[in-house]
Amino acid sequence: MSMALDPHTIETEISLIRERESNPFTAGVKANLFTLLVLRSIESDPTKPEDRGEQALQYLLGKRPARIITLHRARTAKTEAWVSGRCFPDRKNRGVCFEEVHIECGDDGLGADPGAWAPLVIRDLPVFAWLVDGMPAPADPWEQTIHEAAGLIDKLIVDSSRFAEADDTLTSLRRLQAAVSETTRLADFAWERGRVLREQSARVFDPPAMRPLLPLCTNVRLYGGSHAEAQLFFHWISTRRGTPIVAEHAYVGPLNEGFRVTFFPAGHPEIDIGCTKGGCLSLGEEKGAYRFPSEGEILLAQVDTPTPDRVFHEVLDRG
Amino acid sequence: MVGLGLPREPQPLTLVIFGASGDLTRRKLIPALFSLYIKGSIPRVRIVGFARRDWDTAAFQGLVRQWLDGEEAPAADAELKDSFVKGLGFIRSSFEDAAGYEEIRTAYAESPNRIFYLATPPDAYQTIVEHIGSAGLADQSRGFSRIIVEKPLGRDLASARSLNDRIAHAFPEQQIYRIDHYLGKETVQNIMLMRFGNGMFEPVWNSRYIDHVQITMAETLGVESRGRYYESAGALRDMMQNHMLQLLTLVAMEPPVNLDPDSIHDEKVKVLRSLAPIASHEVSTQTVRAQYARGIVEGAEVPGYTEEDGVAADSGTETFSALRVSLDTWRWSRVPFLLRTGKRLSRRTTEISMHFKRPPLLLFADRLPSATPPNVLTFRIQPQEGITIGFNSKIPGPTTQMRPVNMDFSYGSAFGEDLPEAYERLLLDAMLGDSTLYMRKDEVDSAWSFITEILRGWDSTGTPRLESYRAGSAGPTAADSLLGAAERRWRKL
Repeated sequence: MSMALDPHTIETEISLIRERESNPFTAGVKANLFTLLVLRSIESDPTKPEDRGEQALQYLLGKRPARIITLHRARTAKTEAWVSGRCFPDRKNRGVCFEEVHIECGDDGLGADPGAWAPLVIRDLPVFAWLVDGMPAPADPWEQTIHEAAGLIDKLIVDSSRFAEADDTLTSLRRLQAAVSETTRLADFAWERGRVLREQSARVFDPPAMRPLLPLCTNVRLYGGSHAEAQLFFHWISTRRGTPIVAEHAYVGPLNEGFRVTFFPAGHPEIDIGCTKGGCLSLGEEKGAYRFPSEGEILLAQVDTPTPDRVFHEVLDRG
Repeated sequence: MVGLGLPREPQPLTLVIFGASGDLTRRKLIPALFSLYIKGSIPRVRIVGFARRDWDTAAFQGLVRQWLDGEEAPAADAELKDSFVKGLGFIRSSFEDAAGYEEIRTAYAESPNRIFYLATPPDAYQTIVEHIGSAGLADQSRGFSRIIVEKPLGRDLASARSLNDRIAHAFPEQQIYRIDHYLGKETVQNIMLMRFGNGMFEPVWNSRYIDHVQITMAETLGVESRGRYYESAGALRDMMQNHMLQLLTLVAMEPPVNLDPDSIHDEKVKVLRSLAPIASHEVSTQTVRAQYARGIVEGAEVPGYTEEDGVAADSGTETFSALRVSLDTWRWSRVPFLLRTGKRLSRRTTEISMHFKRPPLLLFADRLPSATPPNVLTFRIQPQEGITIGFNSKIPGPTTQMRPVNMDFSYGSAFGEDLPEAYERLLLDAMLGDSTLYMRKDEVDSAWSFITEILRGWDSTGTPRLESYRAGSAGPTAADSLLGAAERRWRKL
């Protein structure tokens, strides 16, 4: 049942849901760990089975109790809210619940204003905001919302793979970082997916004998992965080297389907790293299987650590 | 009888409420008195309303009976409500009419003990006090006579002193009870009990371990129907001078030698006197003032301050103020006290938080977000009264990552009964002659002395400029400038 966006009514409704879940036949419900604000665009449809936001949340359900506040831009005139709860019993029969507040943000502007939902954020616990559907345009109301709510949010989670390809990934990420306060740090799904690229590259250049080759690699080529994943990888290489590289990228599929990185050290043979679903191979040696994290696993890791990723921010600052 | 603990019960007395038709009487005093009545705490107290309204006793009783059915009053059987109102008296009189005061003496002579509650605008205080004095009602030769006065107790040091002098003309200091209802709240009372009744807090309650202290009093309400009054007050006078500084004294005071009211007041006054004055040239760096603009609060669009009834379109009155305060004491040397209060903020909350220094060696520096506050002890005064200790804990699993976690004590879940309303405790204390939770004259003077200096600085320098903040936000970002260190943050509202 929809209700007006009144925090007292919503909190009462949430309390009733918790009470119901704490019935005498269960061992109660676990205390919340954080608040997650899920920001959805007008095109977004969480009811579709393939919706990536919902799939990731499903992965979290039963693992981390939390309050999930969804702000969904809608084509309605009036902002409306729904309250619901989803619980999953743990091994000791305690409910691990999502307290969910779904806000359909209408044309009245109410839902986009943090004043409307800020009282629903649980105090003294980390607050994460997740832009499920890519980067808002500069004049997009979501960016204004993020800016105004910056003091509330500890970490803003985005996926730069969903930004428009024409945009420079780093420029867009920096713009987003500038829109929030210094104390709100960015996290990026694309960066997390690119971990395999960085780890495999680091393994190649980590042995002392290989280290002198990295500064000689002025050219790097990547087949596979999204534009943003490639950009972030190239910028990471640049910050490791201390100088920019000439980069070449071609999309042949998502990273978890496989990729190939080739480094071209001047005066030396090229260095190839290839990964498929079956495992990785570099310098002619099998490097074993590599497991790509799912969207849910990435989200879980992000909400488990309020800490910003130091290397990612180094790349943002210096890349 | 030895060993038999008797409940604290006041002597027979007459409580006269001036301004009996007002909002304070309806919302706070009558519900508190009724709550005391149904608990059996005031069996011998006669309550008499005094107002100029064209009512008689029966009409007043009928009105109060309706109030008791409202949501402010505690739930009770109709019979109890009926018996409570049956004991009420009413005097119809203007405050200037001596006959009304004479009626107190003649019609309610059964008890020689009297308490006068001034639930009126402060401009009526002088008239009422003079008439009480002239009628000989302040005389204590046959029983006690006390007067309870509400804020605002002046609008600067001079007017506060003048008001005090006028009241003191009829009532000696021991008979005056200056109410600050915040002091009646359980969590506020618990600050002193927790500090001095436990062994673990006092050893770390000083500048060696505390980095800074934050006191926040945030309201979601605007000025409501008080626009005209608020225009002449502002947040600094309305909240900072009384509630905020009172909370500060309880956090910062030294242990009193005993629990006598005067011993406690002495220690509180010492704190107020040790406040480093904020001189005119410092107001731009140690104070922030701001006014709310139109926005959304608790799901509804609200007007900006200058659009409120009774407020000038070009008003310069602050609805938010924040101060960076220092105490010149050994205990608190170089520990900033950061105070903020405002209307139309995102959440209603009153709290005191003690922010501890970081460990001397940050072994886990790269495993914690830099913005994470170090250990914080928070007294939640309202709502959800309780105490929270925040610290950092290892995330389970094969990792050395840490995240902040909380340890929570909540009055609501720890004790089975509802917390008494602040007015309930304070009214009972006044009836019992216990002024511990009331303010003494020198406390009010010292608080005004500190605040008046700031007001003078604002007036003479025109700084800091009046900032604007969106209703429903956490206040102006300019308040961050008071923090004084990059790693400090205001607590989220």
